[in-house]
Amino acid sequence: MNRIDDQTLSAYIDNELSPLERAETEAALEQSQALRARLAQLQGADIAAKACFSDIDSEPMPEGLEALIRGDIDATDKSASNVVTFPEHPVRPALPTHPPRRRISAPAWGIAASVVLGVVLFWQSPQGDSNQQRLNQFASNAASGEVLETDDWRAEVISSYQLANGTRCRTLQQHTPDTSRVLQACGEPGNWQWQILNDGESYSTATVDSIDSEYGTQVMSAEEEARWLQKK
Amino acid sequence: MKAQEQEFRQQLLDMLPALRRYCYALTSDRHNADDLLQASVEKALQRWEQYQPGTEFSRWMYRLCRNHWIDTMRTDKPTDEFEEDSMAQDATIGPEALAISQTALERLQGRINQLSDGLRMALYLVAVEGRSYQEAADILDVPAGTIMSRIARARQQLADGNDL
Repeated sequence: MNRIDDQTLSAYIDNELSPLERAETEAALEQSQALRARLAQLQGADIAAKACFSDIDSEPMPEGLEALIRGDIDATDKSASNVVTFPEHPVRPALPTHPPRRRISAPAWGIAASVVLGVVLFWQSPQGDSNQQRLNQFASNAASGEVLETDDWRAEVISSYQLANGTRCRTLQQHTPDTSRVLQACGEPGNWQWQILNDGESYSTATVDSIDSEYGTQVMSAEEEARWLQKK
Repeated sequence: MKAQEQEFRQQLLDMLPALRRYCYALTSDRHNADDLLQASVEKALQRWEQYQPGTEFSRWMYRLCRNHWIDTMRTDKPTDEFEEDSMAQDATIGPEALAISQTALERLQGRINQLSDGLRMALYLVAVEGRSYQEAADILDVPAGTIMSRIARARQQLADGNDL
């Protein structure tokens, strides 16, 4: 395998590569920071999908459906007030090829995001942004639990961990007077790929646990974290 | 009620949340998803004797559900390719949008909805349900290689489309 493309990385995520291909991919990941960052981006799409598709879980089941399955209600009994017999034809048009945007309620998003870690958006901050530089520097030096306060915002390092693919990341929480958000910095100190994991409203301390369950990551001990940060 | 029918109903109850998410992935709309769920359940209860015990129940239900969606509810033609043009207008969002997380979340929902049916269903079955490429291929009646390319394209388009 000469070139590791997105399809190979995708199959790697899904554990669908042959043992040889997997070994070659892991060797390439070990060598390339860019490839590890790309893998994290593709994995982020999965987290986003889980949040979106689980959105409907926050809504109650259609009324009477479970009773219908249990046999408490006869589907042909039109007198049952809570039975909705489905028409043979659409009650509303199916989605057009370009569906219009629809608003999703904030609570529903919050529930979905808290269940599956949160929707991942990829953040490439503008060059020369002094705030971003301070945040980069802080992420490269501060131990978990340390806090950085500026005139405009306050940031705290939550934890450091290593993904199953070897990529090392840190989670930070950033607060401004108006909002909070959880950020993930992956890569190496001084050379981070930043992602916004979710907003502050849906963040919980279970975030790192969720990452663990998703990707089999290992949270670093204080000693491991210190060794990592000193290597920069 | 026969024991076999009771067992069928219990399996249907057990997989109801997953079936609902599958309907949501198919329709990209909560209301249509619940309509499809209701219709699929009614049809399944009518045809429960056609199910072969010992075969995978969820696969049987997913097929029934998908066939109903294609045959009776869906009015648009299937799309195999992602509609690049529909996203182009969103690609110029600046960093200031980051402060409006709700808007960003809605945009992401829109992007997933804008994936073609094939990409969206591959993404759902593999990335969300954790099915193998072969299992997803069996459910969607396509070769496993097609699932492999579709899931990669879905991830690629979501990852690249979310650059802010």
